[in-house]
Amino acid sequence: MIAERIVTGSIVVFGLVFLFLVLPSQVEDVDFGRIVPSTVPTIALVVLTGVAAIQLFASKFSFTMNAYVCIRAALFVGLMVLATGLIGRFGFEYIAPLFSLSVMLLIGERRWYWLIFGGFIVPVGVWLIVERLLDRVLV
Amino acid sequence: MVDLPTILAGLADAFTVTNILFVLVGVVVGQFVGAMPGIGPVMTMAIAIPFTFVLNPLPAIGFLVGLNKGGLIGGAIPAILLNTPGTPDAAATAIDGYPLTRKGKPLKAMKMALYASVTGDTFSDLVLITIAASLAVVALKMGPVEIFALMIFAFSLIAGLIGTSVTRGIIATALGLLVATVGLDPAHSTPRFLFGFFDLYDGFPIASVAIGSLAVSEIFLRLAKLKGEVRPAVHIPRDQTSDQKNVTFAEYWACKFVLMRGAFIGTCIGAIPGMGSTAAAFMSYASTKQSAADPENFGKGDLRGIAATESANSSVAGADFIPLLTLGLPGSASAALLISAFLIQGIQPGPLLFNQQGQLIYGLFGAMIVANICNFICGLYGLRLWARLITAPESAVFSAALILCFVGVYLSTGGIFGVYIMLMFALLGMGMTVLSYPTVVFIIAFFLGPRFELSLVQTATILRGDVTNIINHPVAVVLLLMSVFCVYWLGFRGRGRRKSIHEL
Repeated sequence: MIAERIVTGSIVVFGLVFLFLVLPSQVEDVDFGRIVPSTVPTIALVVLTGVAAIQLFASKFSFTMNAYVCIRAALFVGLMVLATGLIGRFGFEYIAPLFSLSVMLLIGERRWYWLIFGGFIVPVGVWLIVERLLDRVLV
Repeated sequence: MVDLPTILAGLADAFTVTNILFVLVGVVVGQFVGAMPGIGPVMTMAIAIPFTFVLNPLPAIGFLVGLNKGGLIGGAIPAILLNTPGTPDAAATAIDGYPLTRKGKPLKAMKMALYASVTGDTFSDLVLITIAASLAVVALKMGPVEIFALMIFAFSLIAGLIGTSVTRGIIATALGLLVATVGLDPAHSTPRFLFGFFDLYDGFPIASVAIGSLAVSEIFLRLAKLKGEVRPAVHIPRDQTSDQKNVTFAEYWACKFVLMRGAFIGTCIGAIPGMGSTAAAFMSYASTKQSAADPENFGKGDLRGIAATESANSSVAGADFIPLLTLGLPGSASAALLISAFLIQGIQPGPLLFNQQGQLIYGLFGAMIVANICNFICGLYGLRLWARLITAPESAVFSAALILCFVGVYLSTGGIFGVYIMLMFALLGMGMTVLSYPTVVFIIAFFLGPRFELSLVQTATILRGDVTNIINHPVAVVLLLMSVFCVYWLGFRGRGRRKSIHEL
């Protein structure tokens, strides 16, 4: 219940911040037309904030978050962000196999034939298909 | 309306070798990913969409339709063999499918699932082909005010039906609409929420949002839960008797009413945005069990249980197209992805499609029939193979899927920026899943956002800025009242009922 309240409260704060601080600075004022550029974002934010406020007081929902799973998920996201940055710098064909291999090892895969398949054959195969067969540039 | 030569030309397009090949590949991939617990056709469709860029519209959509239909059959395989549904809608199939496997009849159970699935799917496709054009004529008579009211009604229905609570559904809808407003405003062409990133002038790329929130987020969550487990191997002995591995015509025919009831329930539910195939499968199972003379046999390996669930969940696939093609409203994740595929191909789904792209629509109908035939043949000869492949390690499958997500988004958005956007939406999707906010509702609202804004602009112009003028549009008033009732009913009155479907 407390976690639910914190999350819903954060949505209310997000809605209010967007409504009163972000929206005025990120959407231009237009003084003609029945629907202005800020109309739909305002409707969406008012609905989002209003319903979240109702949920804040009315919800009896409770959820459990597995901290271990969340940390591991964040680790995989971080790994992919890093890999994306490195691919942009060094090239897909060098980084993608390393990324793929790291993911497999992190899950606990230790069978060498699957590591070769997933960590080398798949990424290099994809690179060959895109660069050589489709003639498209992949970073 | 569409004339006969256009219909015939469309059907002829569907039966070309190229198109049949793409549908066949889609079905094979769909059956494979459906059989792999945790992947499923929705995730694969999201990954595959960018790769359909280079194709003509019909093979592209045909491939995705084949993939979706194949996944429905594939999902039943692990449900029957491992008691682990490959897709959520196959959960009800496990109730009677797994006991049959334990009795030494896995092939019989899988074949019944295949026959029921193809029967239900074909029924709903025929309903779609028969009524879609007539519904489109009615839809064309609706003006922008009615369309706007219809979208509000669809949002309230989807927000109420998908997910754990109506407030969560509405929050997800509002978030989807908000995200859809990023980029140039359609009426005044002024930029919104760019935060200095000029790549966002055209809004968030569809492929990045779809793949990030539906596929990558799910892969990350699955990866986080994995720790080197290997699924148990499934060996189907070759020396089985005919009764153990085949479904006789008498057994199939004995289920005719069960199949028709399932197909009817699935078609009706599929035509309503937001209801989904899981609900159809459980409702069909419940009604079959209730009407049976021997309900105590259900749950112990009764073929009627498999027939009821598979005919219902597969018939949703065809009926899903009814609101999609006639009104341009997607009712499920797969329909939302098909809408994105249409948009990527430069086609706006909706009633005008029948006038403007009649040949393509009837080509699509033809492709659906081809997909059913392919599904039947591939299923019949591929069941043993899929049963073996479901033991392939998730480590290799998920790492390959991540690579394909990267490549797909990079190629479709033309740069690394799109990949970063994909990762941002993967984070959002993960957060929504963990906190029980329906990602599918968010995606549907995001895809419909630009149309919603356009119809709001048109409505405001027609009503001359005075809301009371809506009285002159009775259909819109009825739809808006139905929206209010829908939120009230699903939010307050229907809370207790939703559980009962899953508690069957």
